[in-house]
Amino acid sequence: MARSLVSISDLRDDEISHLVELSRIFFEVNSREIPKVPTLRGKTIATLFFENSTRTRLSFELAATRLAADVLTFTLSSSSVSKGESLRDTAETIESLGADLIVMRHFSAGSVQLVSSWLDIPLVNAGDGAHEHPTQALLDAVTIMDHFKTGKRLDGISVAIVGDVLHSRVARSNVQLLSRLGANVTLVGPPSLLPLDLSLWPVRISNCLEDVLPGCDVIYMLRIQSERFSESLMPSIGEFSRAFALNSERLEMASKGAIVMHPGPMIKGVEITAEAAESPRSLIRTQVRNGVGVRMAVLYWLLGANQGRLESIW
Amino acid sequence: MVTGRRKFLIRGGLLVDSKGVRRSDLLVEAGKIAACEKEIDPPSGAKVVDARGLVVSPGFVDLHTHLRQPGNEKSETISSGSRAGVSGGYTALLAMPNTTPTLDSPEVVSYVRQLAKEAVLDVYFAGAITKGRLGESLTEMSKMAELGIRLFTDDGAGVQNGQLMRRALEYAKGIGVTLAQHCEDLTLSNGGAMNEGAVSAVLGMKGIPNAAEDVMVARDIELVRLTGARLHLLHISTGRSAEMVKVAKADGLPVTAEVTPHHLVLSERRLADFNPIFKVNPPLRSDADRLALWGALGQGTFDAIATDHAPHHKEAKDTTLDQAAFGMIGLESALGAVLGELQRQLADKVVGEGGLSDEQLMNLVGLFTWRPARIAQIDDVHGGPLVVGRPANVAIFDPTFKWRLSETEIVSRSKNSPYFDTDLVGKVLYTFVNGDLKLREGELCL
Repeated sequence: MARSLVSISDLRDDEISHLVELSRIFFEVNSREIPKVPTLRGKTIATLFFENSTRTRLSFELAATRLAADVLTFTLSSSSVSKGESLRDTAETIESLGADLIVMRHFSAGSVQLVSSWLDIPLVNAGDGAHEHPTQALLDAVTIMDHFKTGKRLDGISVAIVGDVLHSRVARSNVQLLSRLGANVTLVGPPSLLPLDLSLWPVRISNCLEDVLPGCDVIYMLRIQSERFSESLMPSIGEFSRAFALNSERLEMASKGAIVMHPGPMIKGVEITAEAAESPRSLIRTQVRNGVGVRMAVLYWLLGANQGRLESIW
Repeated sequence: MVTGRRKFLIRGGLLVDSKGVRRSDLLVEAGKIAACEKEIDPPSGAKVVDARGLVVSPGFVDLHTHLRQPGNEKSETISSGSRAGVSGGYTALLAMPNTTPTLDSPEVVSYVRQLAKEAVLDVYFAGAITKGRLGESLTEMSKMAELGIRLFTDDGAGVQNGQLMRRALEYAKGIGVTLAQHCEDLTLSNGGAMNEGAVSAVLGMKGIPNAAEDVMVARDIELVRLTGARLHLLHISTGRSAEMVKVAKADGLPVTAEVTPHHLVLSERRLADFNPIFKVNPPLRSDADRLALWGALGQGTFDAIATDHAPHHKEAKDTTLDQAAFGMIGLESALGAVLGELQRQLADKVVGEGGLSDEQLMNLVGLFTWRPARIAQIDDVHGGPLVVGRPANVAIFDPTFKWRLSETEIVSRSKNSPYFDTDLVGKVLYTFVNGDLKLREGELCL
């Protein structure tokens, strides 16, 4: 079983630091006229997505391409692969085809860890159910660090993560990573969208966005999916937006330097208005751009870093 | 195989049954206990079992076994499950009705009773309360009762409709049978795969709150108060439910309750790496609940330790936690798991034989033998006491033997045990079923 990235808890502090450094190197690569390095030439990276996703898959595939790796794309509907046995078959087939690494997204929490226990190649978790999405957290952390120029730490930065925390893998990875880097994290949402028992989470809790806004440096909005309303977790989109959407008025309540983030895809008018998303304080597009460099760093770290290939980046 | 029953003299053991704890020899002859005296000289032809340092108890009675036959013979059969039972000291199993087809008609009862002739111990069956266990209409309980069914349950699901449960209790009372409830409000468990708590929050797993169990325990206790019918509550997993059972008993209601070894030994923390082996329903709860169950056990709230032995073939567990099957096997490890945990808790105050006081030993044996036998209404044959003339259903165990369960040694057709990395204490070495020796020195001898 090779080293994989399934959860933020898989990473030691020095490894997080190393990934931040690598990410910045790849940001520089991506700013070149020809943003491509031969680092992973000859390697094959497979993307295996059991859930619809465009941006995350494209981000990983672009990262792989810029490292000169070959890309194998598997997109499977959740209905065609719903049994464990075929999950195993699919994963083993991809390994047998010669993939050197699998980037995997699946609707079941724990699925990526399970697949990694079956295979000998590394896996990168691109989202497993409501569990984790570690590369999203890494790109968010680097984005915040670079904006506030806090080096490789986030000491003293206050982050509010707002909305449907209960179903959010982005929140679970971010809470772990940002708090380990020194940030103060507050979760904001209605009790029905927050986990019942948060005793193991290093966070503060609030049910009122307006209370939290004046004290935070980062307003991190989460996507809310429409099925949450049919499940009666909230009575209606309107009720949710009324209390928890980020709009221009609420943005005014935040401190002057506060920034707006969102992992995408946004549902404008539900959890965030177009004005807030497109305001000069929004780093949403920077997040998307940084995502490619951070994923290059992760792929490089898992496949190339131990093979003396660092110099080929330059 | 030798036909005809042999004579056995069990010498020097510590006898534990509902009559108390005493050192005595036991002579087994022609399927019955022929003599029970302080010292018995070996009669000619008798095989002597040296039971010095061992506990001699009535054969264990499991109120809650899934034997999977008919319908899922890949996971277990009546025969393979009965062998697993004998390995764990059991002489009687009560098989749950959630088979395919469901045990919900006299025809299916007759069919499975034929199958049960393959068993190496006494298999009894629970019938379903509702047809197909769908919670919609009552089964023909009196016809099944006539064929010997004494307990009815929709186990695997609880009867969701309160009105239907009331009618079922009233009807059961009239014909003298007992209902047993799997307490779970499905609207509250809502597709969860593990306990809703600190661990599910971190994993992003949908959880089953304690309230899913507690509200049905509360409802059913009130229905017992209303109807006066007997009710047995299956696999209680929360401290709050145990508390309600205690109060119901203090009020004099005819309620009994069981607890499983796994809810006493394991907690939700075991799921922290998504291992589906630990997925069971009701789910492994918090350590606070687990310890509350021990507290309730100490206060006499529970009437039985029942395994909820739930065999699943490998593929049913070799998948993601949300999609894996609920359940774990337990017949072969029940005593070892419970005594092992008890020993860990008593580590600093070792008293009496095998670390347990006579009273503790008697309580423990009672939970495995005569108390479940009464609930199943099979106490004429099983559960002791060990006195002359009773059928010789006997288990002999070493209460201090430390061991580990290994996959290769499992007798059950399925290997989904949660205990491979847990120290077990106490091992059954001999099992006599109606006077026949079925387990000798820990090995099956069939």
